[in-house]
Amino acid sequence: MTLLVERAYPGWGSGTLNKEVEQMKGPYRVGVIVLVGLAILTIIEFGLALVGGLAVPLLLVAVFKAALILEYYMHFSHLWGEEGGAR
Amino acid sequence: MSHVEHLEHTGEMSYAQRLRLNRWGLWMFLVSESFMFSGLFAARFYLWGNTRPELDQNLGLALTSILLLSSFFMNRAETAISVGDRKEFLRSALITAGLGIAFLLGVVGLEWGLFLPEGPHIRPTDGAFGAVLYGMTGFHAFHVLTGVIFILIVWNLGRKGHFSPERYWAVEACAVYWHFVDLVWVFFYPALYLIGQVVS
Repeated sequence: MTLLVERAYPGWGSGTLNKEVEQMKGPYRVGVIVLVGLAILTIIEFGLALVGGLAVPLLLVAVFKAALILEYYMHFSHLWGEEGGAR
Repeated sequence: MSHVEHLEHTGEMSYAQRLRLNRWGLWMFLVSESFMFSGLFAARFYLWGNTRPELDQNLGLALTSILLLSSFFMNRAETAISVGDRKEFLRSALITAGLGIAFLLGVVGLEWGLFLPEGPHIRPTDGAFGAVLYGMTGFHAFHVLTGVIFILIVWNLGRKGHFSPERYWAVEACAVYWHFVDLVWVFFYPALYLIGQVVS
């Protein structure tokens, strides 16, 4: 079936289109993983507040969250890449 | 035409070089912004110490979740335009703007009590608690508002087909700015809602 579709419509089926879709899934996947990471850290934060609300552990969790956002959403390290981080 | 645009037009500066300057310029602006937010953050610890006013914990968590989710959709919008998926870009950018508006309504309407019949729990004139709470949330909310306007401008340009996978600097700048606003809240949320003992 896939072969027939590929012959009838070059680029469809298991060919180019699927590769393009796979390429798009990659970057989207990173966004999902970061969101899950941020959600887990926020739950930890909330839990820490319930058991005392100490500043140091709460700010440490905030630093981890900030690092995730800086690196994966804001692409901070790319600034030092080739031509200012051409992606 | 600016000097940089003139250089690009005459071939003395490539698009990649211009992009590099734009990126550094944006980050310098964000560094200057972070000084102001750091001042507010420091003021919280100086004035409140190890105490905090009684705030609605559910509202704080909801506002944080909304902003984190909006950052996810902003990242999705930027990724979509970088792979030429304009439909997904427009959808994700609009969701981001919607979540930004929801955050604003949550802060102004519920935390500031504008939508509450009994009014705010804490007023700006309520000493250090009021001053810090309204100062921090007010400055941050203003940045969320400007971010939403920025997203809607970029969304409208995207709708008209202004961006391509090769050239989408405005989307990138908008995304970085929006994530910065989220980043600030990552520190403001524990500072306002979680750290310290509650004082009634």
